[in-house]
Amino acid sequence: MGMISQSTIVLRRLEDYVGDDKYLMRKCIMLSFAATVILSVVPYFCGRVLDWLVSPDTVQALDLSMLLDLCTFIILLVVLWYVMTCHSKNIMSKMSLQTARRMRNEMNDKLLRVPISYIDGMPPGDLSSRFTADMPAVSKLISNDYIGFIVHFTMIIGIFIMMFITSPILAILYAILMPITVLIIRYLIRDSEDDYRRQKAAVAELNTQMSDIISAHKTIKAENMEEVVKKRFTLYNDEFTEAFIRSNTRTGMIAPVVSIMANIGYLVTVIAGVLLIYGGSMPVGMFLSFLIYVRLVNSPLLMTVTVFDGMREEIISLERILDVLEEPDEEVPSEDDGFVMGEGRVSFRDVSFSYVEGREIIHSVSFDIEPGKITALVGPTASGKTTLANLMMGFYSDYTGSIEIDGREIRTIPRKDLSHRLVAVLQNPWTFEGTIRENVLYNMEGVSEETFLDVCRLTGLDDYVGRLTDGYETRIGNEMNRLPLAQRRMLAISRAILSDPKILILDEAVAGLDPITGQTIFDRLKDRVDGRTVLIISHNLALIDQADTVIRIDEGRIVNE
Amino acid sequence: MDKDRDRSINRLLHPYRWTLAFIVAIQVLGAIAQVEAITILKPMINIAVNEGDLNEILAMGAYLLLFTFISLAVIAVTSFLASKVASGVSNELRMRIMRATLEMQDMSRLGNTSTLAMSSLTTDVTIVEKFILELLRTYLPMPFLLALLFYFTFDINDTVGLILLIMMVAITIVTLLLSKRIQHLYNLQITAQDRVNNLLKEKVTGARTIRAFNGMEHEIGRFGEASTEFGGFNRRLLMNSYYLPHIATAVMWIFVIFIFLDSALSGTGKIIPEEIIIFMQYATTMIATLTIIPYLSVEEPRARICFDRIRSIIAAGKKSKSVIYMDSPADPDTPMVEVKDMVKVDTRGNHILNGIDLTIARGEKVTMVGMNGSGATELFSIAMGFSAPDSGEMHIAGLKVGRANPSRIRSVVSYAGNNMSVMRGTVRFNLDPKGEHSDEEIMALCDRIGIGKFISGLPGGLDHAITSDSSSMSGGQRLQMILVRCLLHDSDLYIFDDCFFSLDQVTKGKVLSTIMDVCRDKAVVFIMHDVSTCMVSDRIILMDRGRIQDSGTHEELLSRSQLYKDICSVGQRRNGTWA
Repeated sequence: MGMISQSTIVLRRLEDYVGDDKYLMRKCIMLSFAATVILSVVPYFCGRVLDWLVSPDTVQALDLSMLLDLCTFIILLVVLWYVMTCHSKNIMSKMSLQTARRMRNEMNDKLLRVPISYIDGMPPGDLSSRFTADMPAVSKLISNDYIGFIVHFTMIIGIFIMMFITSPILAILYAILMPITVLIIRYLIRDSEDDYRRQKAAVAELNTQMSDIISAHKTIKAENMEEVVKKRFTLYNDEFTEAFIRSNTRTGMIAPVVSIMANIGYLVTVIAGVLLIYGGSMPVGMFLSFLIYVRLVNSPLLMTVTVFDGMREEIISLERILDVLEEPDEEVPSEDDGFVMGEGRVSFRDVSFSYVEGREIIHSVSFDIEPGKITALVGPTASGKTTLANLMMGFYSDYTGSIEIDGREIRTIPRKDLSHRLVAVLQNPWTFEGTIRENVLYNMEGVSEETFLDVCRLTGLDDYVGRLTDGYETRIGNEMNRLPLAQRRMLAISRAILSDPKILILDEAVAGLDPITGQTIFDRLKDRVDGRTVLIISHNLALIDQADTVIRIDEGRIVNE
Repeated sequence: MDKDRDRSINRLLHPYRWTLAFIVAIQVLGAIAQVEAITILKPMINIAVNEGDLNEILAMGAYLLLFTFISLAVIAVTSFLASKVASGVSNELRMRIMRATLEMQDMSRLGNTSTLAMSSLTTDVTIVEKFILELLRTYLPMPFLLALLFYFTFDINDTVGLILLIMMVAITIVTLLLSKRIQHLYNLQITAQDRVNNLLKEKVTGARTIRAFNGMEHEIGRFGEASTEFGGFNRRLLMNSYYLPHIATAVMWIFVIFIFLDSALSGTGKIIPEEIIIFMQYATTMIATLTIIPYLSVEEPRARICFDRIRSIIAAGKKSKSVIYMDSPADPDTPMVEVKDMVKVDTRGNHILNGIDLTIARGEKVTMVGMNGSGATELFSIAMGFSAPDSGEMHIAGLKVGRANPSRIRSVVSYAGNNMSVMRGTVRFNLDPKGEHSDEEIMALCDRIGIGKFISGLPGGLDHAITSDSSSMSGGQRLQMILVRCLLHDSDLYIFDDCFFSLDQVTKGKVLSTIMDVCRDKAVVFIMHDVSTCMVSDRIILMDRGRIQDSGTHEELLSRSQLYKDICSVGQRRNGTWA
């Protein structure tokens, strides 16, 4: 029972996404119920006709017109059934697709709103498997199974009602089997939920391994690690298969159990029915109707349990999706209060920060970045330089102390007001699936072709693009089909300059470029950013020499300025 | 194409051929039992109506019990075996996808994000698995059952039997036609789905940039389009999935009722109720069976497309393997590296390597220096088997690149570069993937490279679990780990491909002296953009746009090459070398 109530809770959470379409759901259940009743009338009617025919009182003279009338009537019933069923399915699909789309879009929005630390903390394959494996499962849950379950269930009820009307005794005999079936199914699924969970976890793990194989492809080859990787993968693959077989040998029996019970039901009704006919207490026609009902109830019965079985697996997927969707948003300052960045002075006051609780990385750091000047942040490897840049960009908000831009704490400035004013070129520049032009002009409008080319020339991107057949229209990818690191850096610098920021952070922006190119870019950049606040993070002493101020940091502390 | 696919299916099912034969056999038995359970009704009702011998009814009841029992056994056994076969096949498919991905030379075959391989690994395999399960459980017994039912209906009324047969053929043809259309729709839908997945994945990889550029609205707009498109295909698919099956059901119903009325009303004076009852039983069983067929038009194309997707990944992995590698061991008497007239042209026709001739002796320390795009990195990518040259030859320790087994070459070469990665797992796994070294050895090297303190400071030390894009590790620390991993190997050749740029000067000095010590008798190649390793090298090779421009010692090059002078002077501005 615990499992079922758990599922109910998860489904309740789903209903939030069904939203205003709930009345459609009710309408569609009513429609399918009515359709079932209409179709269920037909066998009853057949039985009546047969009884009337075999009764000795019936005048055996029949005319063709009566037959035609009967046929027309039945055809009308069936057509009505068809129209109603398809209409209800139509409503259902519309509603469910809307719900699925709402969830999909919500997933997208959520990924845009969660704190960076949430994304950092998730194993890469885990998050991906939530939308590659769990999302389709949830779509299926919404568009087929959830409503399918309800509809088939109403069909069963409709047919049972007709069974009772036809022959109460046989109906009761048949109905006795139902609680037994339910008990057997409950026994079969008693702890299959754990298996499903293990299956999902194994899938997430397989996905992570896959993502590793893809991202660390060269490493695996260079290290001759194929066998090690295969072994790791096989381990989880076998675990998945084992969990699958275990859950499937038990839950896979649900459908057979229902078929078996239906067969037994058939057996019981036939024997009892024949005995009743023998005893003369049941007309043959009624027996015919009942037998048709027994056949008719078979398929919704089977559908209900199959769907139910699938649903329990999908509900775990749903849970995994909802876990992401219900992740608290990054704290964003309340709406626009008209903050306009002034000259771009940044000051850190007693800032301490840790990614993982208890392991402080930045220890009470205080410094100022003068407006309109070039400041260099230097320090040995892993001294906390990039972390400071991340904090300044507002990627993490759970630091202590204060970071102010023009006297305003950054945590209270809406991101909108900082966009295109505070821009960073990060160590591992991001590109998305699209053309090089789209990637450079990310979220920018009204940039003239002249300015665009000007900036691309400045960063050296133009030299590279000039050698491509499709030029700036060359399509590049996100994880694969990327530009080489040096060109991605150039792209990111172009992107940053074009967005015309007040404050520019360059985190190892020219590292990995050869010194000549790096120096040229930097010299050109210097003219271009004149009058802006620039923070350079680098080991490159040549760049650092050109800074107005140098801040040295070591092990998360300022050493000297 | 079709033949190809069929063969690969057969191969997959090959280990299960006896199981499959057994399933078919018992399905035939099951179908017979199911039809017999109906046929036996006729005498039972006959006796009941005519008030015959009650014992006879009970005896027949016992037969009915037997038939029911057989059906039960068949259902239970098939579903058990089917799930075994399906899960075995899916396990194998996942392994093949993994192996193919591992063996793929050009990852761009997988598209622009890793989501394609991942959704194949999970969603596609699951769909194929479910289809196999359904095929064995539900669709396989169908032909036997239908054949038997036809046989018996023909027996009662051949016109009706013929009409039923025609209807079945019609349903099958419509199903086939529809499945073609649906396959096309599925293709579009899956493309749309990949797009949705890619866009979601971009939110993960680009979390920082999107936030920094306030790209929320922009991303929501971009996603909205893809999402709506995907939803549209879903809707069309969903509609196609129920109109036909329902029409089939409706038509069958009308037809059966018509037959019922016809046979009941025209059999003037001679109504045989039991005949009508079992006829109705045959007919309704047949409806129930036939109406499953249209569902095939939805299930089959989907499974087929998913299978094709899996297959294309597997095929992409195979291409690079079609060469039969020589498996001879490395020859210790040959030069370390020998390159002859190596040419590599990229997809856009630019020469990345333009006729390289190069020999590196054993134990020699070489720096290859040049500007971005000089070709040095590409040259050693070819050596490592990451890419293939267009012409020319390369031997590493006497092993011919492209002909010798790449893993042989890789076992004599250690490579560290900024394109190497840190994987999910413990620190130990990342430093010593095959578990060949003791903790002391590992930690001693870590200390010399300068991350010993960092590692021992982690909560789990060497057993601390890290992820591939762990934010708690800086770019420099990641490179240091890669360097430790590289240096732990006992190789003949060590390649350091531009991997010092995120290290500070002090660390870099430590790293260089460690390298020179660990690799003192070994050949070392530094691929650099600056001259910081030139002092410790025996020879400097100056690369420019895919050619070797000059080679010699630092002093020699300084005296005769303008390019080398430029590289030096920019790097050595005021404060000495680039760090």
